Amino acid sequence: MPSEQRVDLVLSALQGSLEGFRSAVARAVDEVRAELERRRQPAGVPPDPQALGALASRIMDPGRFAGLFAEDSLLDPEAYALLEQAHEALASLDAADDRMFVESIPEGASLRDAVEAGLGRLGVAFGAARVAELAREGRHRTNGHAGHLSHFPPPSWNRAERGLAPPLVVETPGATLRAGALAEFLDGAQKLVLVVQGAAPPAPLVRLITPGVLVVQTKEPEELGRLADFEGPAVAALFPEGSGAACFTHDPSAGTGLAERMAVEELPEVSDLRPVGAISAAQQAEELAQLASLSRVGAAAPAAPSTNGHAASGGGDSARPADRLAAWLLRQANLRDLG
Amino acid sequence: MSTATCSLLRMSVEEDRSFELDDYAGPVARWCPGCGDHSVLAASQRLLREEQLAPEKTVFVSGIGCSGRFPHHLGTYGFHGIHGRALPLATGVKLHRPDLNVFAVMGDGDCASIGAGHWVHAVRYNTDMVALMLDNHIYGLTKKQTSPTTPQGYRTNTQPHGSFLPSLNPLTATLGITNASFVAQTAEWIPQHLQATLRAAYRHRGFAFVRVLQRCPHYTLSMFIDAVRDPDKIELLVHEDGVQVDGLEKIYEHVRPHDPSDLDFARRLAEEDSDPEHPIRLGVFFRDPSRAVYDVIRRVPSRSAGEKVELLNRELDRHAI
Amino acid sequence: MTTPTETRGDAAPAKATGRPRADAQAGREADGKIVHRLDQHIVEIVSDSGEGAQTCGKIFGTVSARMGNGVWTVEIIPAEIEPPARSPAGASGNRIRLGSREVTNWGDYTNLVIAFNEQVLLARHRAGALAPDATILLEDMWKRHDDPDILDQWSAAMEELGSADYRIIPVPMEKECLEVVDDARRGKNMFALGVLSAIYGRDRELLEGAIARRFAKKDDEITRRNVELLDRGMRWAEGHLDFQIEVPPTSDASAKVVMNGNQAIALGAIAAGLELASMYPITPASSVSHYLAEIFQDYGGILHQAEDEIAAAGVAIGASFSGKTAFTITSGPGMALKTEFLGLAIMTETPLVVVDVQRGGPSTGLPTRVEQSDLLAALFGQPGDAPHVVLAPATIEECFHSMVLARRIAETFRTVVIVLSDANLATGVQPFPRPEPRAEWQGSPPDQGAVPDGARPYEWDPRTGLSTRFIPGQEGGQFTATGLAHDEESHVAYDPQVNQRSSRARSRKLAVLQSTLTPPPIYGEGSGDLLVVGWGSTKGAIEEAVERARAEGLSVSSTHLTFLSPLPPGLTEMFGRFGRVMTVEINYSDEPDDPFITPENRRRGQLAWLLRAQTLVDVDCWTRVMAEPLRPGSIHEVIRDRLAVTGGVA
Repeated sequence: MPSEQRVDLVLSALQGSLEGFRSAVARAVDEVRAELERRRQPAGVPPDPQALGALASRIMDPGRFAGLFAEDSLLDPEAYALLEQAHEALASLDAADDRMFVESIPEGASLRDAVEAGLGRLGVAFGAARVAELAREGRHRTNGHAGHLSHFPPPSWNRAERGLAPPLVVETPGATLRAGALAEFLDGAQKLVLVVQGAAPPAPLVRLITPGVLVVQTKEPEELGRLADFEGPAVAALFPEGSGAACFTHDPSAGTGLAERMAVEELPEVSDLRPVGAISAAQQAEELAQLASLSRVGAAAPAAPSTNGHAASGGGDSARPADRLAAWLLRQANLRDLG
Repeated sequence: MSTATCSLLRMSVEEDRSFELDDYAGPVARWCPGCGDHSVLAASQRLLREEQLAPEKTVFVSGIGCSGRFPHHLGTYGFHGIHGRALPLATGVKLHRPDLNVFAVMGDGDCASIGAGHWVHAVRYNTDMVALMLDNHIYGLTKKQTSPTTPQGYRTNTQPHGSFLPSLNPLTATLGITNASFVAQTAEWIPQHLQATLRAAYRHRGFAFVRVLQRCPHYTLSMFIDAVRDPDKIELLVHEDGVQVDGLEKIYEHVRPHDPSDLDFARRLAEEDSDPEHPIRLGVFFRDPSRAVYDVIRRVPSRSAGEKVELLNRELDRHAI
Repeated sequence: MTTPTETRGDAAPAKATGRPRADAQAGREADGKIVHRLDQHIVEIVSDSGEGAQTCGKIFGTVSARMGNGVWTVEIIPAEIEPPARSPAGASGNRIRLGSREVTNWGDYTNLVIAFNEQVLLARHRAGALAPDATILLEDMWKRHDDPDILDQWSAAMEELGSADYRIIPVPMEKECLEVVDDARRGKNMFALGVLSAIYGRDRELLEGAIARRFAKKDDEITRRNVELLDRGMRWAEGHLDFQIEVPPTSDASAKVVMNGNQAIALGAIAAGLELASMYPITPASSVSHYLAEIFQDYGGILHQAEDEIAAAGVAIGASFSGKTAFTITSGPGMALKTEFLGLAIMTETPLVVVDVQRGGPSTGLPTRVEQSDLLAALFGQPGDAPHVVLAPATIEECFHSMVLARRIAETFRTVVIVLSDANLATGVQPFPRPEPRAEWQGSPPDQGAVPDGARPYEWDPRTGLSTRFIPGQEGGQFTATGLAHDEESHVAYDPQVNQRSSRARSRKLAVLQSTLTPPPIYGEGSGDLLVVGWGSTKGAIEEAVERARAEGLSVSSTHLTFLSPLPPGLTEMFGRFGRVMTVEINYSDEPDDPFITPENRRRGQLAWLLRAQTLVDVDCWTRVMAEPLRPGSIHEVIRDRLAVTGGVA
């Protein structure tokens, strides 16, 4: 399936998240527009005879009507201009199609930087809202907010904004997939979906498994719908069909024990790993081993199926170094329920 | 939070706040000393602090009667409506603003007499809110008239030879309504139980109906005197999905484990509660969080003015000639 | 004094309504037929309930509107839900008035009827709906029926109908339809549509398109068969009728939409940015909610069917309190039930729009019929002093725009706005200029900004009484709205001054609103012998009557009030420029010369009552409650009567 088509499927699976963000933006556009109307500079601007509708224009004097509320509508020109700019920024986000939630990474570029760029671009919704709020309350700083309207990345977001974080779909070459760098973004209700192209490490997202984060590696775009339903942060990688990647889910909402939360559907052979870009075979092996050990915890409950054999089927051999490491890592992650 | 109402502009200046009891305090309450309303008010304020509900995102709606003054004494938004009609107002608030925390406070006459029609339907709508029926078995504000929950034979100004009919049982009534999802009873003179019941009600998603037994210091003190003095007159319904207060069973020794998911049994327990010889049962009679919640079912996407104008133009084209 | 509508049979409005007679001046020969060229004509199609006359009428009306005619359509509603076949009580159908210019009302009497049996025709005859010289196309199968009872009914009906000067033309509808379909009951309406379309020269392509749209949800075969029936009806008319009627189209080519008043209210509500409607089923208001139920959610709107009328008001007030203004839709009996809640909204200054689609009253009254009897109840129905706004759309177009205005006023003035529509507007269908919705009409989302320090929830401006509303979610704005007397902080008032001050603030708002109104336009000259004052759906009929009277040289004008509370400025001065002033309304008033009635005890029309009180002018009235809209011909006669013109209508 071409990448373009897969991205569309991902976007439709994420519809719930997109809608949430979009309707907040739509509402903000209305709010700022209404504010602009209310604060329209009264000097010399004749009232709009249609403002109250066609009936009113025949039986009312719109000028007198508007005059009732004229005195409290003044705003200094600078604040008004800022309000206009904020409106423009919000309106252009409102008008953009769902492709605005997609960021593409060229070969060799940094995944982290691309995610920051994408979120910074979408975060302009928050930046513009902040500018509008400051301007309408007269608390803006002269020339102090222009940046907010072009780039407003996650570190600038507050808790409420992180709770409404825009989802981001990243088209990424497999060789760029250094997932550990994404941890800093997994906060609030952030959803990240990596649409992986070409050769890729088999289990890169294992590094992101922490107690509150929904982590999914899959080859089925429909699987991603669960991200939209999940309340907390979530990250997913969509691999091409037939790729050798592992498929698993870590779902914090599935239960309190790791056994309930981990489901490994597919765990590939470890034998023939090769470096992908700058990601060494050892790093890949490390991730796979970690997944294997997590899957064994999952396998304690017989729910974790494996389509691909031996790695998942073994019992707990905690003498192996990878398992010891895994156990240590998990302890660090504060998963006290490992047992 | 509802996407229909969250404002990016407001969010942008939101800071992490924490709330103290003072944040929920309004002007000093003027109820009579000894009125059970004081106790419910204090428990509500503690609940708000415990759950850290933003005062501006919380609305208490009331009807008329002594309980009607309830919102006036809180630091939240309030709507002191008309007699018997707190529930439609509260439904309107929640339907339009699912992001708000909604509480409806009613008296016994308010809820079960003049507002009985709304009560039935509010239970069925199962809109996400807490509904408190402050039941002192009498019309207090208007000076001692019979209410639907006045015990048979009790003398009032409108039925001076004793109330004619057996009192209405609000628990069986509520439990009989299709789609009821939370029915509990508590008593104003056991603050820990009251508190725990309010918490369970608040945390329930759906219409949480709580009957609070309470004394009117002027007119119905005698009705409750035995139950207040003698813990044997109380039976606690306990369950991990209901109300459990550590240590309370040391005072109230009648404890009955009751799984609130069992509707048939809940109805039986409630029916027995009509019997004046029977201990008063306090706790969660019934809870089913899977019942349809009206404001969730009715949630609609938010549309911008521009989108609406575009849709409207399309609709007008359908009528074009 | 004459009472025109009761004696209207004597006042045959033949010329005014343009009867297609052989001697019509405009008549000319075409293909051996007499073509009557008329500037307006009223046609109706009537059948048993379930035979599809309404569908036929609607398609005919729509196609006529598309062809550029002015159109006013009225449904003929059976008196029972499932009346027996062939009973006068079951008469169901549509009445379409066509014009060469905008048609603003239902007109006078029907000029041409197509009827599926003689009993439904009889119903229309007995209702006094038909012009005495009407042309009648009547299914003739019944006179050859096997059932002797039916034959008896037929002859009795013919005898009764024979008292009028009708021209009855038999049409073999059943026989013709059976050539195409097995069950003629399911085909006659399309055949009838064909007959009418041939008579009025309706465009075949538009008809086919309308039929296809009507049956779009069914399979193509159904559309094909209906078109075949249409063609058959057209061919029959071409082969058997000796006349055609031509009502030329209007010259107005502007974009138009066509709908009924309740649809216009629903769309107007959406255009106004209203997002929550709550209601309880009641005739004739319910169809507003039917339409909203279909489309409202697409606009982020919620239609809530409440458990009763009271709750419907309560839910709307609760919603308004917490955000955007909400509205409730009802009719008279529902208004009565909502009264206490309206008082609460007014007292707490919670914006609310209430649509009252008036019907006949009091009590259950005439549920499907028009009346304008709720005016005084709408104005003064709430116990205590409860000032609020009442406005009344006069046309279907105004039904749409009045919602935009109502919401804006409700929100700006923190008050209740009652919109008085009626059953005539609710079910009448008329083309009108296409509204151009604007984003501004949607208004602002509820303000969630923090409330400035020190601001109070009822900071009444001492001059205007206006104050800024606090909405839940606004930090620092926490207050408890209450129906008890309260001060600026919304604290229950114990100070005796407070009630005086707060009552003044609530009342002052109406005067402030009035200061933004302009005097109502006058139809006709600005001064003269008689001024007719109307409100609501009677506007078209009144103006048509005034026009006819003015064409006769009578010095009469009219004005129409949209705002009933506050009344527009300048009325006293305007009334002073006319020798007499009278209202024309669809509500009950005593006749001055009736037994026991004196000028002191006479109960006058409701607007007259109001205008007399407010202007101290001796305003007279003429009103009727005949369970139907007023006819321009009747009003014309009243004008002549008031101006003491003798002789019949010219």
